[in-house]
Amino acid sequence: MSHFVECRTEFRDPTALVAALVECGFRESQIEVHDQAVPLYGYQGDVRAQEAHIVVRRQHVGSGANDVGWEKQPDGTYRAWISEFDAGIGQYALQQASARFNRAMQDRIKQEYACQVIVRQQRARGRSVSHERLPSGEIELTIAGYR
Amino acid sequence: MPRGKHIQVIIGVDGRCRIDALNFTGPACPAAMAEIPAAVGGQFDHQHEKPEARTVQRCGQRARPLRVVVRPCLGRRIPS
Repeated sequence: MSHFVECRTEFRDPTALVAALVECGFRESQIEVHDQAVPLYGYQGDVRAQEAHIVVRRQHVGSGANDVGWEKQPDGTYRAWISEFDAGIGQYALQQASARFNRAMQDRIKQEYACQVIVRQQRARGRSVSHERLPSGEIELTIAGYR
Repeated sequence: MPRGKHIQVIIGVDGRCRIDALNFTGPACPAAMAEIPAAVGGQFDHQHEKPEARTVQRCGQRARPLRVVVRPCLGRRIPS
């Protein structure tokens, strides 16, 4: 039987998520990983209602930014907490292009995350994985070594 | 590109993955394919057998174009 499969990406592996953020331009030292969720802070240093297990503090996001975080959910997935300002949505939609965590950046994090988890999983199973970024911006992985 | 069994994954700019198995036969194919969605989150958008799999039961074999040869009959009677 032959398959063609298309699937969406969800964040479940914190190590791969951190690696994806590093691929997207953050230094590992700028990313906090916590066993217990910690509060997120706003641009004025005010405590926000949201908490997260993986956090990029506002000083590493940009000028006037708020903390950005990913909170582990009961089902094991991580949901992102990104303010409207940092995502460039709502009243900040006109500045979307310059927003650090705009849609393009969120998609890029998903793409890098998917690449990280697949490469790690397949190499752990003894397979060889070649990796190429296509002119379209897509990433092509070729996995070999099946018996 | 490897000649033997391999899986090709195209990760789109929005993080969606298109996964294709090549040169697999038998039940190894869906088993190998299932590993990738399990890694990235497991939500399937589309899943279907490739058209050639329904006829030859083989993974990765490219569908061959149907070849039609038309010969002029030049006024000869076509045998019934």
